[in-house]
Amino acid sequence: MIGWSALIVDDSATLRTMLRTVFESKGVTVIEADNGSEGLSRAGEHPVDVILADIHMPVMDGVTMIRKIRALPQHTHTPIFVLSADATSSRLAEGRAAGATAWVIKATDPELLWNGIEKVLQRRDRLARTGEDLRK
Amino acid sequence: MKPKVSSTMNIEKHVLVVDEPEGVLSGLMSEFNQLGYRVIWIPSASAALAFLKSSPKLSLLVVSAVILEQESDDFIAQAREFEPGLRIIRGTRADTKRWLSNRAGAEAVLGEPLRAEELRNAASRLLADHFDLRPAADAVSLAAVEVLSTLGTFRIVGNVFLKANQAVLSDLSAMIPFSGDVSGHLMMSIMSQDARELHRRLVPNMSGPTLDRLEDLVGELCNQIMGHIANRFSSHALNINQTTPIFIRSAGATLRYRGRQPSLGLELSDGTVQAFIELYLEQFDGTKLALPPSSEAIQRDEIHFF
Repeated sequence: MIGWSALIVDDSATLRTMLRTVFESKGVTVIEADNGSEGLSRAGEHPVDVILADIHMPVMDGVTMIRKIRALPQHTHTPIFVLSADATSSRLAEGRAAGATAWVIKATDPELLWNGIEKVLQRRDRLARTGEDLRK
Repeated sequence: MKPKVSSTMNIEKHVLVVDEPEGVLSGLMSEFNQLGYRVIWIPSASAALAFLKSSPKLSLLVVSAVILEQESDDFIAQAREFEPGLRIIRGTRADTKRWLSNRAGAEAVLGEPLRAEELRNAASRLLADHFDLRPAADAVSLAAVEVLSTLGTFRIVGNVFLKANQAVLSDLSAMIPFSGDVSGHLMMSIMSQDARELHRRLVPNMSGPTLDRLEDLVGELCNQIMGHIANRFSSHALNINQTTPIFIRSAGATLRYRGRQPSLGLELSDGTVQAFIELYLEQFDGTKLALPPSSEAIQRDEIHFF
């Protein structure tokens, strides 16, 4: 897992710090952004392995940001985990349509969240080694 | 005698008090006003029945023992004929309380002289029932406990109660307005030393968080609780559009609301930290929420892959 990088986009500095602490303890390099617009810029600048995105953020909301990130050639297959307290059915549908990979409700144990991300990234790496298409 | 109305008429948020002038219930005017309800005071059973017969729906009726003893022992039964959904509190002499409790015909029987706290609790419970607020109370309780349980063994201190239409703020408060099928706002208020303790639990390696950072934590917790409430509502086909938090940093300040709508408050504690949550409802129909959920919400600690 050494060498993985994550972009965390959330308007709460406390939540970003908490996730950074957990992720860095796993050897992951963390990049932060505090709104969707900044998240989009960071995603354009850095070829990160996974993106974690809040939904309700100032400047640009998470769904819009995901849609725009998915349009970037380097992020068409980057796993994007939505981490939001809002998990209403309409919001989930928006997230799915925008291109999110998974949805996790906030207050979820960060270790469990990490386990889910790790499995996705391990699978991606395994498929990359064997030359398979991740979308299969 | 002409009914005495504390202020402008406002259907469905009226409390009818029936007692002799300067009677044992005279202290009620301010109690109910603080709860956000208009009080109509009528000093006789016959006038009260005439009022009930002609007036729009009332939320609550409070009648003193002296009225029932002197005028009409079947006043409550007659009142029910005019207004079957009425919630009734009756006062009784302390020595007859046990006897009356079995046949009072009222939802609550309180010994006289009434104690303000006992009256507030009874009125809060009955008004919450009247406005179908139990499902909303359950939603806010479950959401608050679920979110805060990640930071300690929090439990609700006392019950969810109907609040006055003003809130007294702690050091740090965050408010999230919401609109849609249900509208209003959620507020979380906490003292700064308690916020500091929660921050220490969440981010143990960070020392001396600034007030900005503590405020951010309160906003995030409020946001998470709001999300959990919205998810619960959504599973009952009640959709909410929530916004990002507004922050208020002003210990002891009061926040008054324009309307006189029901507002639910709860206090949570884990023995060290206290947090106050308030759900103010501008528009709410509890009937959908009382039905079984029509869809499943994502649970905490579940990763939902698309």
